[in-house]
Amino acid sequence: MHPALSIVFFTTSSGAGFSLLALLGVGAPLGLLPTSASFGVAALAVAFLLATGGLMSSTLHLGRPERAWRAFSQWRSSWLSREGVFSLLTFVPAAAFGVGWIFFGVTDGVVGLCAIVAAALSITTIYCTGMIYASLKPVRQWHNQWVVPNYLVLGLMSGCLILDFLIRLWAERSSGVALLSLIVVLVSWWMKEQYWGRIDTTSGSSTVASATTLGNRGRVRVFEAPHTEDNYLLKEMGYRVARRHRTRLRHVTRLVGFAFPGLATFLTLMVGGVTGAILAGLGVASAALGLLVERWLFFAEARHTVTLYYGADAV
Amino acid sequence: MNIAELLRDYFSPHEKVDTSPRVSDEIKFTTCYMCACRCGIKVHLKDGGIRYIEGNRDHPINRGVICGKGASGIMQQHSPAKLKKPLLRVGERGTGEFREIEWEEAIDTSVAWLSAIRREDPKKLAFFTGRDQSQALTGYWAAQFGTPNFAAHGGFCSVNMAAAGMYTLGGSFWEFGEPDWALTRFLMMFGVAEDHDSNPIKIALSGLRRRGAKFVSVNPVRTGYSAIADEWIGIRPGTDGLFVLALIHELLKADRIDLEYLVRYTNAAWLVIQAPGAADDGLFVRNETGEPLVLQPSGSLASAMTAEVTARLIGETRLPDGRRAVPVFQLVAERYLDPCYAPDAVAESCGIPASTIRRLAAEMADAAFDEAVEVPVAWTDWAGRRHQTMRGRPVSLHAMRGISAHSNGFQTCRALHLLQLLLGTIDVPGGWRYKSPHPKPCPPGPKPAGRPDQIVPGTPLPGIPLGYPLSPEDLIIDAEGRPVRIDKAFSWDAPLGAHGMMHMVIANAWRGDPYPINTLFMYMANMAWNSAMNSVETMRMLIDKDPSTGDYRIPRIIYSDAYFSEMVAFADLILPDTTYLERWDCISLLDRPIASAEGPADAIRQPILPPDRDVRPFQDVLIELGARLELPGFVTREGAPLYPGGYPDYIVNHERRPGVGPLAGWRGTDGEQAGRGAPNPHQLKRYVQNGCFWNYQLPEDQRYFKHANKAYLETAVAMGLIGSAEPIVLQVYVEPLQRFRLAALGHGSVVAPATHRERLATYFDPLPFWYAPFEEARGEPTSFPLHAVTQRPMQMYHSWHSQNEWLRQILGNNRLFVNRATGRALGLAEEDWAWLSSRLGRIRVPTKLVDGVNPGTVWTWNAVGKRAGAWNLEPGSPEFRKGFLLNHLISELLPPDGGYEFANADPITGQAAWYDLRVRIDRLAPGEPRSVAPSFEIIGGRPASLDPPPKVLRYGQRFKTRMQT
Repeated sequence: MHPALSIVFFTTSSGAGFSLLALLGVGAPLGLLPTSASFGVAALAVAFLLATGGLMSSTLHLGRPERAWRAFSQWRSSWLSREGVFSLLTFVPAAAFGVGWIFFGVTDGVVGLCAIVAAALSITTIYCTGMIYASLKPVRQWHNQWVVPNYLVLGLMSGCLILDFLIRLWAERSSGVALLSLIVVLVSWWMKEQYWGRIDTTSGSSTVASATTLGNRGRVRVFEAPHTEDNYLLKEMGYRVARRHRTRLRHVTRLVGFAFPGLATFLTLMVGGVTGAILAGLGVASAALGLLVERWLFFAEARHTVTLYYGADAV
Repeated sequence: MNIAELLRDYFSPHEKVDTSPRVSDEIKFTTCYMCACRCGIKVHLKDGGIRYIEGNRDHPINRGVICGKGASGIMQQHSPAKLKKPLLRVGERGTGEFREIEWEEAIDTSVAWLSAIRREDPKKLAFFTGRDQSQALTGYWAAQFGTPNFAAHGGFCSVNMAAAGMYTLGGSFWEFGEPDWALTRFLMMFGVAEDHDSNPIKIALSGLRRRGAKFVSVNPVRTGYSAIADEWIGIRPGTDGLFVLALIHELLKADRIDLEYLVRYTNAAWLVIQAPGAADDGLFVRNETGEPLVLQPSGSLASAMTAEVTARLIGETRLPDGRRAVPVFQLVAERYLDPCYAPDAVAESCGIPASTIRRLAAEMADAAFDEAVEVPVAWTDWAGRRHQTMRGRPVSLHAMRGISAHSNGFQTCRALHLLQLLLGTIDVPGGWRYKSPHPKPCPPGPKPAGRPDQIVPGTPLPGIPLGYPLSPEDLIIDAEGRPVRIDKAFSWDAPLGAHGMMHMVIANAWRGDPYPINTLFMYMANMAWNSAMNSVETMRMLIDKDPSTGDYRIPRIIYSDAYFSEMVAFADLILPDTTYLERWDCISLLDRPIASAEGPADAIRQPILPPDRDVRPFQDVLIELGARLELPGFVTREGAPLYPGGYPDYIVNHERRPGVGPLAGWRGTDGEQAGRGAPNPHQLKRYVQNGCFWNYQLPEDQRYFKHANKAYLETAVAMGLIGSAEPIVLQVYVEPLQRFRLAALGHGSVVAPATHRERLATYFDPLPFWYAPFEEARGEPTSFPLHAVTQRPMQMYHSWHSQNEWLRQILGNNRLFVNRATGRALGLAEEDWAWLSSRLGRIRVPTKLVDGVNPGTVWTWNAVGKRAGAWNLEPGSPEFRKGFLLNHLISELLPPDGGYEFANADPITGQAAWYDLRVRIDRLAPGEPRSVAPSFEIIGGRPASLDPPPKVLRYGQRFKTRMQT
């Protein structure tokens, strides 16, 4: 599939934003976070910006953005619609949580309840994002059990790293979050490897024979594609990334997306203060870059069954 | 837009979608021109533009079906390559540098050039039209000008089939005949590509398959038609004749022959003189009145034209002068029962197992004799005998260029017709039927005009330059036996060159062989590219100058085309034509009509849109030139233009013979006469009212046995289709061929030159035989072990279509298709690049391995590759970068034979032997670039009025925005 930059940015950014919101929603009522209003303002602002920035970015590739809202009506059948619905729903308790925390310094009671609900809705939103892809049968690289967990854990990873960084800016040690970050980075890495292993070792069940239902007559081959030159379908759904290029980008993801943030986080367990904050900040930046590459690959490696009609043997 | 509207756009949950929008303001009917099939179309117009094109459900040809190219006529109209103004060359030929001129100057220039030629030596004008659908006009114009040098593209398309059919049956495959699609039980189709006539064939094949009739496709390539056939016979190119003669061998051996049909309708019983060495050896035995004779069981001779005679098909007789004579059928049986035609003897050569040939012959015979069909309609034959039913043998054949485009195509096609005759399947229910206005008399007429004594400066020829010679006396040669026509048609090189030899014109004119010409005048023929054999050299010939004078060897070239094709760049004066949607046209019974076996029919085109640029219909220009040159037939006695209204005026008012004009419908002053009648001033209006066609249904009792059907023959005479109601006897044995053979043996008043004698004696066999195509027989089969053929895809016909924005999205470049096993043995990858060589040169091409092709054959789509700079396409277009032509490898001449260079053509008709090509594949050397070679210098110039090619050709936006409410 063609990796549209707006979508690559949206999924990574909103994943980070909503997971940060979820972490705040759980951490604040439990008293695990700095209680200062300034921290609340900063942390919630980052979460909101990432989440809404992502949403705004997703409307950029629409032909008629003013009609985007109508997508909300299709929640019964569409994961895209559900994602929209849950993302908006999230903002209701999140707003109450934010007001209570920032203006009244309250993070328990009703405010705490709102925070927990916001956290649950945030996670649900990320789940919906993952399901948008996992529900598409014609795309083998998306229609598998590793996609949703990947979305959840990668979102959580970016949220953790950002939270750890923010906490350090308020000059307190935060070994708890740092430890959590380290664990999540490692789990994310493992999950991504599982996902890659899965798509590399399974082959498509759809073949040109099954697509044309002519398989019972012998080996089916495409004599000529419907078009000799690129068309919309080929550009959008037949996007190909060279094997060598793909391998290199996976290494970039491993190194920049997981290894470096993991190492930085590990080091912050030992050093605090300004050095720790800088290390954590570098971790966030590195992970952001790595996740963008990871997400770009997630699209670029996916092949739609329509490519069977353009000469692909199996998808 | 006010706030309320803006908000409505955001919040109105129920958008009003017009599910049945009005798509057109007006619908106009006309006739398609995207191939030569001429389907009826409905053009939807909206806001003065073409909204879309659909098939006309009432039209007899396509019954509403439309193909990809037919529907894409819109993009033909929107092409950025459309010429906009007359052009006069200013740069060197081939550079495309022109000055735009006014029509007045263009006409004046043409008249100045042409009138000088006509005054001095009219044959110095060579007038050749390509895919011209107005040959009745262009041929007439040439005759009035007085030049014999006229032809359209038939010589490189189908003359083998047309001539073989006309000399055998008085009709032919394709344009002049069709299978009885509704009743046939067994159809064998030879070498039919899908670019042309696809709608009628698709409709017919689907009906045939639904009925459960058997369909066998014989073609080296598994085409789309082959894919839906019951059986695909992947024959080796050029061996179809051998295959068919083996079928005949089997049928003769099994005695599965319709003897009754042969005696009644053919010349199978006519007696042939057997006197080797005599001047009349091999001619028919005739009585004093010239009627051929047959042998009666009593041993006495009788005229074959007597209705009640009983004739013997086998038996020898002694003529009163003591010489031997035998019936034609005896010669047939003797020849084809020879073991050299046995399936086992031909299997290897054809690439078809002997058992398959035997089985197909048996299936054919079973269908013919065990499944005979009977139509319960009484009819009367030519002799007045009444028949209660129409009985037929439901085996039909259909053939096209795969048969035609070989140097043995004439005799191969004759073999196909012989098979039909032996099975008794010509114009019978379930068999193969004549399309009106055929059958014509057989052997055919008229004879070609243009003998030296007929070419007089300032004077018309006494007839049309194309025709059918019946003996050497009819050849267009001078007293020394040299060709008179520039293309050498109707000379000893190609005596039956009934469609001319357009493929030889440029090469001959460049050499000055047989003489130099002054002006080459062409219409709609891309002769500098995909319509030329040896295209690389052809381009050089067009720009070559005589060093002694500094003039081009072909001094002047006038060309008419609607688009900026490759050929435009090589012409001196361009007369820009309209598109087919901007002019009047007639698809006439005098030319190639839309008629079917059910009766005569013709059609017109009407202007759907006015031209939006300074162009004129070529036919209008030709008529104006005729008037300005004061050609008889184009001016009144007083010298005023005879058709001041241009082509529509001519269509309505021209009479070829009294009462017979370009259109046969609604004739007579009241418009009530069919076929023959006085010109009707309202004729075009009547056509337009009827959807632009006229379709006459013959009564039921006239639809079969037309060659011998009294009622039909009388109707045909009354309608002006034929001259007399005499029965048309089908020619198993073609006597005119023997006359040429006798001339080769030194008999007769016109004797063949020594260089040609052996050739004529060999190939002018009055009975069909098979010989290896010349490239195979005379070439180097070991150096060039593969056959190479081309075809056009269903969505493209003319080279125009590979610049059509919609069609070129489907096919923007071509690849060489190689049989998978053959390709693997050569070390080719699934998709690869390779050198393809012939004895003429080599080209570097992209290749692809495929399963559906004869192992010894490679093929590609024709005319997709284009020359950079032409057609106003973007410089990076795939047609330039990845498309290629096989034409670069096909020689127009054969290797010298006894010092004489014959055309690479059929020795009888001069048909271009495109499919005789032999090639070799070589892998690229390491490091060689994977790009098409040779690449040609870009045509740098472009007429000033042509806009640069747009990045995206947008169409339909305006309809879309207007539909939004």
